[in-house]
Amino acid sequence: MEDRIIKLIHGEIDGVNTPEESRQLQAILQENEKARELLEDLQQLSGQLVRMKSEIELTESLVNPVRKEIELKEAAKRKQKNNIYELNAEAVMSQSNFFTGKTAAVIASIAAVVLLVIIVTADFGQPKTENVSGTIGTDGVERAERYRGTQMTGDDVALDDAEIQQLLQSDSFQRLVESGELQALTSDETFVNIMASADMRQLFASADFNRLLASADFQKLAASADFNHLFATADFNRLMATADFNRLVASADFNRLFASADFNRLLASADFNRLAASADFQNLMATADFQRLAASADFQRLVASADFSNLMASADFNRIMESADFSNLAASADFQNLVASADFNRLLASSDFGRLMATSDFNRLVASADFQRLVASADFQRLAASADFQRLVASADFSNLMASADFQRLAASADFQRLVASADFSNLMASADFAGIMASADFQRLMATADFNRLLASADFSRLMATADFNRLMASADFHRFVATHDFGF
Amino acid sequence: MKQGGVDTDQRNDQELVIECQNGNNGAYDILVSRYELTMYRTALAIVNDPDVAKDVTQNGFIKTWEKLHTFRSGGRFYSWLYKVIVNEALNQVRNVRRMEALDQSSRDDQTPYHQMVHAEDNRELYHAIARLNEDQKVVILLRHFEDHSYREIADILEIDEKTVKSRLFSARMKLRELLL
Repeated sequence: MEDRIIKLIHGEIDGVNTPEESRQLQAILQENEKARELLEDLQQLSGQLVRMKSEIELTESLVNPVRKEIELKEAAKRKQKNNIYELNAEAVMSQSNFFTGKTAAVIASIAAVVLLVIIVTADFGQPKTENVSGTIGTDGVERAERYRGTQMTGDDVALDDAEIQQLLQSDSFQRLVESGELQALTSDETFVNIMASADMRQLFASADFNRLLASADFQKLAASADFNHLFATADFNRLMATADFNRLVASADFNRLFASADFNRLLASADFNRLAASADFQNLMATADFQRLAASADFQRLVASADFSNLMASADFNRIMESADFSNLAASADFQNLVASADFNRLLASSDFGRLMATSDFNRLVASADFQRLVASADFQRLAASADFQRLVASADFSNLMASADFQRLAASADFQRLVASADFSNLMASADFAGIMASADFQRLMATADFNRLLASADFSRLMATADFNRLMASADFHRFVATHDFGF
Repeated sequence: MKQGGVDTDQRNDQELVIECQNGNNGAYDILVSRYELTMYRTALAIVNDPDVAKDVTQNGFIKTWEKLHTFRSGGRFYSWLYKVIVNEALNQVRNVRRMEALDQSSRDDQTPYHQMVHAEDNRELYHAIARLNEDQKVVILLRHFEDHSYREIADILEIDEKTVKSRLFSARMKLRELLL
């Protein structure tokens, strides 16, 4: 066969032929049987190669092994300079008047508060978490000794370090220091206890926590207008203070799911993040129909039913319509009630719902192995069926927050998506240190205190968090070293 | 460009490399996540063993990180990484051949890679790919697995487009011949 024909055939396979070349090839194919056979064989080969590719998967990400190896190499390098480095660090700490216990506790706690609230927010920023939950059970959390420091004063604010001084001299910081909110929080027994707790100390000392604080993703989100706006909204603060919310966050189910590998893998997956950021998803979440359905008794009953749990856990989930589990579910009274309800039908009929269901993002997520694994996990099932979760999702506060423009904007923002998808974030969420804090009684109590919520809602706090100085401080190595080594027990 | 793993980050490779050079290893996590599946597939096709391919890919990423300070702006991180991984995989194959003098054709049937390929058609194709030389394998993978254009393949392999076409066409013809 002529080279020219062979080239045209390969060009056709690779989609690089011009229209004229394609026409020439078509003419040749009509008369040349061998050319026809070659084209057909190569087209088949091309399709087969693509099919074969889809069979090859990387069962475990290499991100962590690579990072560990890099950390080891870096540690080995650091070891050579270690002595000088440590002496310098000690000198900085000992000369610093600023690092008296209380003030440092305040700075560290702000960082922690920011982080913890982000994580709580992140969880509820996910696609309709009615079905989601999990936690890390840690009942044996020791209660730390009570912090006995005095209130922060202006004298505490003095440090040679230019970075910190810049922050301390900023208007935002000064206003926050002078505000009643911060003072009230720092003298709050619950807050003081949590700051002095072994759990918090461990979290501060953990590499995961410090890595997240130092990450560019975290910095960008903390400084973003969307993030700070949400913090200051009444919806957000109302939800944070509700008993339902706090009960859920304290539940063992919630914490177990939060720390599970499945949940974190889904959270970090590209499919999930693409869907969560999509306009269709956001629109649906914000509709009154969706809110009404999620809060309806029929829907709650269905999600909590054994039939529904069985179905969700079944391996046949992908072929849901054909499975026996689905038949059972469909025949159940709960399902019938839901399907017959006006709320459900209104949602189904809405254009937002139709659009979302038709998106490739949605379908890719639902078909992804990460999603399947999470939905089938016992942790997920347990949370979805828990009364705490049901109650929260049905509450007006939760619905209001989910429907608020501020929340939607944050959840859809690139900064937020990037943080949630980052390995640093996933690692922290899955770490035992973080789980310990989330599950501790002190933390739960703090989240529900009026002082804490008032501080979060204050304009000064929001403004401070958005400043470059504050973010620079949180990312600085000195700060990490300090929070990791300082004794908050006083 | 088709990429494996988590890839929601909007920063391009160049920006991430600069962040790495400034000491932010978190940025390197993103690069690893972005290219791990592509690199693993390539390594796997060359070494024929999933565990060895994983090691090869991991070592390739670490070597690349170690040399990041030499990476010049304007260069393509992907091409550079690809070359490192391919070389790493080829070295691995050479070492194994040298040390064990294995009969590749008789070993193919028992390799874990072969066991990963379930569909009967794909198994035959796997056998055929194993009989290509390394140059041919790489262009087939880049074109059909990673969907790269001739130009992109030429950039990655630092060869001209004409050579890419020549290798690709001959690889396809050989595969066809082996599958008939």
